[in-house]
Amino acid sequence: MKLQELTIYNFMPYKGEQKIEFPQHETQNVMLLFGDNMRGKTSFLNSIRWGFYGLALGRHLREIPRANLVNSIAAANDDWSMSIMLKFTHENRQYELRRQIDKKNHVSVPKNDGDFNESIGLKIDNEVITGDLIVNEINQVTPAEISRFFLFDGELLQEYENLLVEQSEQGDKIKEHIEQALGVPALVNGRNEFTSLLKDARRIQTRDAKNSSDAKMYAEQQRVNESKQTTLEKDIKDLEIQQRDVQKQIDDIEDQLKNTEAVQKKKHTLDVLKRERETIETQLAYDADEQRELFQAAWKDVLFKGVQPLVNSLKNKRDSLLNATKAKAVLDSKITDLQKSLDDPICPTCTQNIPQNEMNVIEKKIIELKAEAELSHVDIDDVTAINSQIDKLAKIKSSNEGSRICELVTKQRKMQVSIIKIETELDDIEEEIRGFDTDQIMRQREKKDRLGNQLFKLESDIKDTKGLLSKLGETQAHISTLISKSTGSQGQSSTIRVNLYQDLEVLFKTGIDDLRDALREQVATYASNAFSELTTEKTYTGLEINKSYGLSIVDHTGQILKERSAGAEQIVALSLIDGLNKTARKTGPIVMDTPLGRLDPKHRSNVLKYLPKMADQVILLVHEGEIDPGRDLSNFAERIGARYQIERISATESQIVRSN
Amino acid sequence: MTHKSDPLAVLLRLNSELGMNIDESLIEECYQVQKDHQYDKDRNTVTKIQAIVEERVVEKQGSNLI
Repeated sequence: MKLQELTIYNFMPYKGEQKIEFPQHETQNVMLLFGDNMRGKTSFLNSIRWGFYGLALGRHLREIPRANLVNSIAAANDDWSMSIMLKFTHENRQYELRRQIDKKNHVSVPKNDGDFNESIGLKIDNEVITGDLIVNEINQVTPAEISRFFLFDGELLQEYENLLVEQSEQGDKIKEHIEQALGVPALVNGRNEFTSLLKDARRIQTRDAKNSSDAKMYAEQQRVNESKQTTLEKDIKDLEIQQRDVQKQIDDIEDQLKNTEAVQKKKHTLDVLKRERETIETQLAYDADEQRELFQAAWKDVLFKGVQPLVNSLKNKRDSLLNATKAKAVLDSKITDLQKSLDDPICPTCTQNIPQNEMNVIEKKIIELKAEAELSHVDIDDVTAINSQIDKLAKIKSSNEGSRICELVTKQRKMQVSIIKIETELDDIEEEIRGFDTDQIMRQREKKDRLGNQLFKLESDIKDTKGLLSKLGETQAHISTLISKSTGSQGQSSTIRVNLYQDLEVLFKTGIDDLRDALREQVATYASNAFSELTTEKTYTGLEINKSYGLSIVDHTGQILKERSAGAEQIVALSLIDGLNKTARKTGPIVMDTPLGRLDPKHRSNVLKYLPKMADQVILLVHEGEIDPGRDLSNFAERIGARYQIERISATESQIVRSN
Repeated sequence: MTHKSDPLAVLLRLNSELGMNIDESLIEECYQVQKDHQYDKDRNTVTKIQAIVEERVVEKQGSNLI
């Protein structure tokens, strides 16, 4: 498919009619549409998407309501007509597709999608196609399922990271889209239809076998199996209905919760703050008890400081009295000894009389010692009195109650300030979430968790039942073979039919797994080739694909790179898109909105050199921060076939102008 | 899409590898129906497939008689 011309009328910021011609040249196949943010690049992408599929996607891939698709200035002038016309070629045929919406006659100001009439027209080689055939024809050229790989928003490239997460819900959905794009549905639908047709064919074979004496017994077994098969199929159908229902409930709750995400966060903060306040209040109460106990003994701490020097002084006094007592005892002992010499003046060593002059000295000494002993006299009652005083004062003990009370008071003040802060914050949050039923939000979260468990159980039941059905299928196939080989059944049309459907079912069933493996290998090869040209890290050996088409970078040691930068993610995602496009389609354009957002200059240069090779037509919707016209265009100047600029007319109106 | 990852090529290869001996033109016809309508919103390919297979049933029964 090759885009030729796009005519936009009153679509989003594009008021009135605007015409864009796409490059048709084989090598000058790149079209650049420059536009600042908010000017209409994504709207341009959406105009193509809406033209083909009647669908325009906003942020988070949400569908944009029809009323918002009509240019607001035109709508204010009561012109509610909007249309897109696409001219393109496919397999040498000329297509002209026009999709239009108009306000219904009885509606004054349209609000809902139902307030518009939508009409669609298609001409192929000037022959008008009508009714449902139009959608089928579009699907033949460019199925909606493939669109995400050729009409894509560069800012959403990161969602492909989900493919690396095992059993991620979003990853599973992308994988499903990838397989749809790669042609797996043809085999899946085929297998399903052969299974259904085989069941009918076996019923006829069983009916015929009843009349055959040697196959009668098998016919009866087959009848029982058929009834089991019907029951199991019904069970699976019921379980799948329940599964879809539960999934829908989960999706609805998730949507609701997403809308109240900010409220939920605030509610969480509110709960945390309340818990924090509770902890502080408990601590305050505990500290108050401790403070009360400290106050009861605090007088001791106050007195202790005054009493302590007194006790010390008393102790000193007592010590000096005791020392004096000891000194007196020594003096008394000396006096007694000398007095003995006076009373019996014979030397105890030589037994001779002590001379009178020596005796005089002793007498003198005794007088001196007595005088000294007199001075050292201590009244023992004084010591007892001091001891008694010390004992009384020693009862006044301190456990630093005063400083502990000071610490507690400081701590208390700090905690009270914290409580005031928390309460102010609580008031603010409560004011912000007033009007939201936060309890209901919590109940919804709980419900979502319950539904999640229910879904898990349903999925497991479906898997088990499918296992039983598969086993039963094997038994039925075996009995069918026995019937086919029985004398009466050979050559009968019912047997031939069963054999054909059986073989075709097995072939398509086996083909699905085989095709998936081949496709994965193919995508990985193309993506690795693209990656080697896009990456600036030349030591990487390539990309490895998982069962969900998630790609991992393999380094020079053959190990998978665990952490990847945002730029690396974008390069890998672009490689995957290239791999998918090359695997899924022979030809076709690629329209990329803001594809270079997260890339450094070297990667950007590599991507710009590679992009023209990605498809027959490459339409890049970029701002000048991504591709600098003065610097970056030299990377692929020879490949540019058309260059346009989105010019601002007003905040709600833009115009596309050709600039080369 | 290369030959290896072409769904029809996969079916034909498996038919030969698994020794199923299904007539190749039957596989091609059935696959073509599914391919042409794989993205149709309201597919009604069962009757088309049924018609293709019934034709083969009649052919086979006829050849059995002869």
